Amino acid sequence: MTTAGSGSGAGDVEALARQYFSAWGDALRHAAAPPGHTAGPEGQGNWQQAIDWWAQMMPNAASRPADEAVHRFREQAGGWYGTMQQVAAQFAGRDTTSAEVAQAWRTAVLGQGDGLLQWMLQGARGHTHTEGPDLLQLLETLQRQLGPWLQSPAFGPGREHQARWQALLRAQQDYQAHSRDYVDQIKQALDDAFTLFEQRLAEHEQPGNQLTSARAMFDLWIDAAEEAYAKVALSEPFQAVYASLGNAQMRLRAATQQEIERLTESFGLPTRTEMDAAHRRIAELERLVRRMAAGAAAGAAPASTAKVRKAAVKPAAASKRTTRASRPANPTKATANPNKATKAAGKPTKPRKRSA
Amino acid sequence: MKGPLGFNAEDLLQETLAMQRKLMDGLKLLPAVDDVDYGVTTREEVWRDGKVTLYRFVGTEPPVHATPLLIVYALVNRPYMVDLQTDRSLVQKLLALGHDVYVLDWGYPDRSERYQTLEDYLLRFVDGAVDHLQAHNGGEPINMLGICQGGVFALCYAALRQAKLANLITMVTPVDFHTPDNMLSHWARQVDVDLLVDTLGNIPADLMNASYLMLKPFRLNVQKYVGLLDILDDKDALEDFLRMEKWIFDSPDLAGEAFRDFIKQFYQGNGLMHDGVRIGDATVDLRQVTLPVLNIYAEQDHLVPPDASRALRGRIGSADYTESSFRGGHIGIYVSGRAQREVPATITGWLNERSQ
Repeated sequence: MTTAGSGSGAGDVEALARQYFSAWGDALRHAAAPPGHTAGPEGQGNWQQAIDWWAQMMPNAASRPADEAVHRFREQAGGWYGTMQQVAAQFAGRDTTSAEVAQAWRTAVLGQGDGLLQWMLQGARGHTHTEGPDLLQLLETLQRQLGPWLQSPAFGPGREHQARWQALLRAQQDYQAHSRDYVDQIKQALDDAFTLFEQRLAEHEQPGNQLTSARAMFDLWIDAAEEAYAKVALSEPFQAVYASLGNAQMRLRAATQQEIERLTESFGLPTRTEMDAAHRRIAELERLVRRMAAGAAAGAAPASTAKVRKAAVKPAAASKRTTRASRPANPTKATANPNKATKAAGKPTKPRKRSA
Repeated sequence: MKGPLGFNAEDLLQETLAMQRKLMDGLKLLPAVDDVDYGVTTREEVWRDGKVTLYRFVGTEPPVHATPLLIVYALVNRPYMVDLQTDRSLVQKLLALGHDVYVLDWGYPDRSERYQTLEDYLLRFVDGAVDHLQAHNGGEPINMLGICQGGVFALCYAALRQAKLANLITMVTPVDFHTPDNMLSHWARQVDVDLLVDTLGNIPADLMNASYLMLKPFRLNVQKYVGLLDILDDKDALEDFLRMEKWIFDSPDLAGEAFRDFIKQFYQGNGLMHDGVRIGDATVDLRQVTLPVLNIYAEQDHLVPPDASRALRGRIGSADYTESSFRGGHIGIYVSGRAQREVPATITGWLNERSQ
């Protein structure tokens, strides 16, 4: 977050914010309708806009986590504050029904488009890292550019290459189909959530049990949405769709990686497959050495083995000592910053290092 | 007013003004929030094998109990959750109760660790750390506290190397992976894990985090950030929030082969329930676990449902089996005020009874 705060003193920002909120507050007080009357969203100011403005006014935070918190608050909460305010203002102070409120909520949520529910659909987009190339987009571009060539029968010297690329394209299409199935499941969960929300609202129609704030209405929606989602997510169809999507995504990725490897190999660069083969061999050798060392130790030290076996007979006896044990390590030499890799300080507990 | 909404325009105005005040406070507070620190207790490195490090925590007083207590944590998050901050530290409470506490830190696996298997994790790293602690404990068996996936590791290890352990504590540990309310397991059931690992190598942390967020998408992606408004005027609460965010998303990638092993044998095969787990050449038989076992689970755990943990009863050979439930969720068991009071005391009381 680097916005209005840059170059401004904290005092300036605070004064500006105070001015903004004060003006907003005055406007709201004038616009507020008397009890029993409807308040339009404009009469309550726009909560989302207020949060947007607030995030822009935020001076540079002292830490990255605080900056991220501002970002997430704006991105993932701002829209929902706007939605709850929009619906609450529509019904504040007037008679209504659960069906009306639920319908207004549905319209407001769906009106936010895919952006508001982006996180629900992320699984269908082919990312395995939150940042990185969008494989799907890349392949879609390629498909448009190479379409006719990819559709035609493969023959001649380039036959194998063309066949591979055609297979890659089929993997992409397969993945897109499974993505649609997944999106359908999510949409089903949302649909069920709206229905359940109406039922939950109906439970609050009795005087004394009514929801007393926009936020309470939102929290009720969250409860209903989680309940409806859990039911779908624990269903057999979802299990199949989820797995099919993941498997299709991996087939597409594997095919893409294969092409990238072919390309890099043609330039004489080492490939991931080669690196993996080396890592596999190292892991196997380490395992072999460990087993051999364990076998040698077992043969060489029967006395210590016997001691362990003896301890196993009465394990509880081993912890009978409840007397104060002396601490062998020197606490003054202990690591001051426990988050950093440390050097051993304890003399009796001498570090025994082994290469990876 | 009839209907589910019991607020009028004036109420909504007050809600808006309250929101304004919070935003104003946030404007002043957030920029002053420093980068969050975590892992509060001084610790010293006492053993290392590759990236895996065994740390000993240093208390203000020497330990009263001579038998080391080794914490084995899950691979999917960083173990500093057990020592997050001064008022939320399982470690500090255990130290204060006189224990000699150690934690095994798995580090951040990279591509070179892709071929590490469960055998490596259990019989190289856990066993190596236990050997080290035993060697400095007069060859006597030690106590082990396995948490979440680390609890699964601890159970398997106890079945294979029982003689090296005096007492075993499992915390929020799944045993039956196929309970009907286990969403993660439900999703994993049909995933082609061979294709997944062969394609990705190590499993990216972002992929794992996306899956966890989708377990409760509305609460974890929306409500949590909407709720940030409530604490914009509370610096301590903001720092707690940011610290928790840091821990949640500070996730290591997972070694591919260990992941393949774990998904196939536990999530898909439900091996602990069918005597079907193999670690290297050895078969895990929970009936071989005849040492005292304390099984602590969280009653509102959405990641490891209570029934998944309670399934341990009757599956081990030990006649000394104790269950302890905790009112809270999977994360609350480390950090909530109730957990801070109850869990360390429960562990200590149980261990003391077995060291008489």
